[in-house]
Amino acid sequence: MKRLALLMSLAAAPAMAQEVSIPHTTFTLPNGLRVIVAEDHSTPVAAVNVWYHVGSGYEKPGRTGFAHLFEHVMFEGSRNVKEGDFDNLLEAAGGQNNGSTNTDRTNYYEIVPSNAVELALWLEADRMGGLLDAFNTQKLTGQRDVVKNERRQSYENQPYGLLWETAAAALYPAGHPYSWSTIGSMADLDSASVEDVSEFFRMYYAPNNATLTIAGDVNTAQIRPMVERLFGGIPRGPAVERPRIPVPQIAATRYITREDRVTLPQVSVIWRGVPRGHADEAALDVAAALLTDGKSARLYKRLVYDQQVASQTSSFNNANLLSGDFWVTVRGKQGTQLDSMEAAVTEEVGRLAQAPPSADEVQRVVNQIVTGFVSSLETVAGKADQLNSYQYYFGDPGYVGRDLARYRAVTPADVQRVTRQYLTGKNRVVISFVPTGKTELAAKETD
Amino acid sequence: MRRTAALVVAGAALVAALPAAAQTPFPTTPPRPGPVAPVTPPSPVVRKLANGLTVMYVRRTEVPAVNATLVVRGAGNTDDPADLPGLASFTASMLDEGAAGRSALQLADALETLGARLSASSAWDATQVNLYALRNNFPQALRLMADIVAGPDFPEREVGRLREERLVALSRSRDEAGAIANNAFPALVYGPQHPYGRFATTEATRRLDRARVQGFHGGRYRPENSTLILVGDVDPTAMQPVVQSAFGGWRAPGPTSRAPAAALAAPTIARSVVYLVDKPGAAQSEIRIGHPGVARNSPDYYALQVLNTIVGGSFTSRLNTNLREVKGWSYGARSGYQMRQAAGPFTAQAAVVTAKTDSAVVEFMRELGRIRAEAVSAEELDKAKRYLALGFPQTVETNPQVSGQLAGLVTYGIEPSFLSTYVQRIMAVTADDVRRVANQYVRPGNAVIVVVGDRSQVEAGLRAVNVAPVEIRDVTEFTK
Repeated sequence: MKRLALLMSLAAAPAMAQEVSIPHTTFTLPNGLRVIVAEDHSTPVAAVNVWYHVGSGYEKPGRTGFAHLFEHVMFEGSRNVKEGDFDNLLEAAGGQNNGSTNTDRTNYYEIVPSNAVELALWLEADRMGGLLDAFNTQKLTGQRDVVKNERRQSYENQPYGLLWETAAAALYPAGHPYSWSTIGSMADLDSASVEDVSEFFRMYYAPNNATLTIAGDVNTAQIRPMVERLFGGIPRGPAVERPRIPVPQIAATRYITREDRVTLPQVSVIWRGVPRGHADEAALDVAAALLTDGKSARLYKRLVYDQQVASQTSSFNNANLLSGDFWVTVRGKQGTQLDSMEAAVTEEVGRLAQAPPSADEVQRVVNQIVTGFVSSLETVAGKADQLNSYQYYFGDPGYVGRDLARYRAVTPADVQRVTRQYLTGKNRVVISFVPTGKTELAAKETD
Repeated sequence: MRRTAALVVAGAALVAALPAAAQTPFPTTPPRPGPVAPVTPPSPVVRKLANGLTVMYVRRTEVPAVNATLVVRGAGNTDDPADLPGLASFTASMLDEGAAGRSALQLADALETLGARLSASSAWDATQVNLYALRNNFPQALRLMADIVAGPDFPEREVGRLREERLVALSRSRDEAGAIANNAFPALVYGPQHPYGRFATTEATRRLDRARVQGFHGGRYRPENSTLILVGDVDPTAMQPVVQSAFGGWRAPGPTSRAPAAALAAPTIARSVVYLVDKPGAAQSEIRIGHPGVARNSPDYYALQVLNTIVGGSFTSRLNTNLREVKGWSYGARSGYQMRQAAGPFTAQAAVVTAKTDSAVVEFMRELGRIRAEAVSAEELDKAKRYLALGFPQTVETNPQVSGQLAGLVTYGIEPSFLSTYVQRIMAVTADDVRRVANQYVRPGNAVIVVVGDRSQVEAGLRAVNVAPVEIRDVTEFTK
C-alpha cells in the first residue's frame, strides 16, 4: 500500500485538487527486458509482476483460448522447478501468486514478504528462461482439463455466462482477434498440441516481449543486480509485432436472442467505442458512470429507483488495445418485455447527446474516480500492475498523474459530444438473454 | 498479415532460443529467503464517548485516506427473530435510504460529491457500516455516516422498494447451482430451529416492513454495543471532537431487545447422508460437505487454521491438489471453518465436472478421512505454518484490511494484541495438535453431503459408490 506521494491542496473540493504519482525507476536489460522498481516501505511486503505482451488478441482462428491455456501451463514447473514446486516454494515463504489473461496481455504475479523477493524473481526467471525444458504432454492435458472446468464453472454454468462470448462474435468480424472469448472454445482447447505450446512460448515469452515490475519493500540498488543476475542470461527473442488492425465499425445494427436457464430477462446494448488511450476514453468512462453508477445515475434512477421496472443496470466503457465497446445492460424483472428496456437505454443516451449533463453530475463521477485511483493503489500488487499497464498501453509507467488529469479535464460538453459521436444513431448490437421458451420477451428491431 | 509475420518470427525464435553464453551462472536451486522483516501490528488508541461508544484509532499516514468501520454487536443475522430471517440484513441495507431529513438520493449525492464510499451489511454476529474517504473530506463524510447510523428515517417508499428488490433477487435464486447449494447446506446441517440453518424466504421477505425495521434498529443499534474503528491518515486528538460531534448524540431510542445470549447448541449429525438436488442440464455439480465446526473463541483456533490450510485452505492443499491438479475434475476445491459466536459450519467444497461427481465425492471423503488417520509430514506442516505466519503482513497492508481485522476481533471481544501474538501462536502448532483437532473437528462419518447437479447424470453413480445413503431433495425446499 501507499506512499503514493499525494500532494494535498487545502481547497474545498479536494478530490479534484490532488496530484498522484507512483515514484519508480526503470532500466532495461541488454536482452530487452524492461524493469520497473517502485519502493514502498510501509509494510514488509513486495509484489513481483510480469506482463507478457500477448493475449487472446494475438491468437489465430482454430487456436482460441490458447493464450489463457498457456498461462495455466506456466505454473506447472520449469527447468529447475519441479511440477508443484512453484506453489510449494511460494507458500512456504508466505507468498501468494496468480496470473490472468485478457485480449491484450498475460500477467503473472507473486505477493511475498519482502525477504522472499529473490525467490519470486528466481521463479519468474526460471520459467521465462526454461519453461520448455520441463514441459510435457501430461502437463498440457492436465491443465486443459482444468481450463475446461474453468469454462464450465465461470461461463457455461453461470446464468448469462455466455453473454461475453455472444457479444464478441457479434461485435467483430470473423477472424478479428476480438471476435472470440479469452477462455476459447472447447474444440480449440482439445486441439491444442505440445508443438503449439512450444511455438507460442518461443514467439511470445521472451524477455523483450515482457515487462517486470517490483513494487514494495525493496531496495532499488539491491534489486538491479539481482534482476541482472537472474534474467540477464535469458536470450532475447524475435521482435514481436503488436497486431495492427484498424478499429472495425459495426456493419449493421443486429438483434440477437439467447435462451438461457435464467429467471430474469436481460438486454445489453453495445456500441463501438474507442481503443485504450484514445482521447475520448475518459469522457466515455464518465458517460457510462453517469448512466448507471449511483442512485442518481440517469438510467438507474429511471428504471430501478423511480419506475422500479428493472432489477439492475450497469454500463461499462471497455477500451482495449485494438478496439473498444461501450456497454449498457439492463436486467428486468420476471416477464419484463426487453423492448421497453432497450427503448429506455436509447432515450437516456439520446438525452445526454441532446444536452450536456450538469457540472455537478460530472463532478460527482470524477470525485468517485479520484478516490478509486487512490484506493486501487493501496496495495503493492495494485501498484505493480498499474505500472505495467501504463508501460504497455501508454509507453510510460509514470502515466498515472496524466491519467488522472484526463478525467479531471472532462467537461459536460465532452460527455455530450462523445455520446453523440459514438452512441446515438450509431450501429449497435442488442443482445437479449431470455428464459428458455420465452423468446417473445426479447428486444426486437422496430424500425 | 499477422499470421504470415508470425510464422517468420517463429523461425527466428528457434535460433534465438539456443542457450546463450550467460555472464553469470543461473542458480539451479531456489534462493533461501533472508531474515524475516519485522512487521508492526496495528496497536489502536482507544477512546470512549459518554454514550458508551468505543472509538479506536490506528494512524497510518501512507495515503491521505481514512477507512472507518462501525461494528454494531447484537445486530447480526444471528439476532434475526425466528419468524423473520433477513431482518438484520434488511435493516442494514435500509440505513442509507434516508436519514436526518435527507432523502436516499440526497444522501447518495452528498457522499458521491465527497468522493466517499459507504456500505452497510450484516454479518452473523454484528452489523458493519463502512466508510472510505480521502482525508480532507473525511470529517464531512463521517457526519453523514453518523446520521445514517443514529438517525435513519426508513421511509415507507424505500422500504417497499428494497423489499421488492429482495423478492426479485429471490425469484432468481434457482438460476445458480452454487447459490442453491449455499442455501441447502446450512439448512441441512443446522435445521430450521437454529439461526444458522435459516434463510430468507419469499414468505418472510414479504413481511419485512417499516415497523419491524424500526424496532430492530431501535432495540439493537446501541452505542454501548458498538465500536467505531478509524484507520488511516487520522490524528486521534484532532479527530476526537469530530467523532464526538457526529456520534455523541446517538442514543438508542428503545430498551435493549437483546435477548440474553442463548447457548446455541449445534445439532449432532448421526450419520452421513448425500442430499441430491436436481439441476437439470448443469455442466458441473456443486458439492458441499461438512457439519457444525467450531466457535471463534475456541482455544484450538491456531491449530485449526493450520489444519484447514493443509486440507483445503491454500492452493497446494490436499483437496485442491487432488481434485484440480491431479484429477483435473475441477477449477478448484477448498475448505474452511466459519467461526462465529457459536460453532459455524466446516465446509469442504468444489464445482466438479458432471461426469466425475461420484468420484469427486469419494475423493473428498478420502481426504477428510486421511487427515484424521495419518500424521501430517513435517514438510507439509511447516509449509502450512509458514504460509499463514509469513503471509501475515499481507493481511494488514491496507487501511480497509486493518479495519476489517480489528472489526473481526471487536465482534468477538478479542483483544487487539491478538495481532501481535498471531505469528508465534501459529508457529507453535505441532503435528500432534493437527492430528488431535482433525479427529475432533473433521467428521466425514457425520457429515451433510450436498450435491446440486443434473440428477439424470449423477444419481446412479452416487448410489453406486455408496459413500452414504442418497436422498433426493427438491430445489423448492431451499429456494422458497
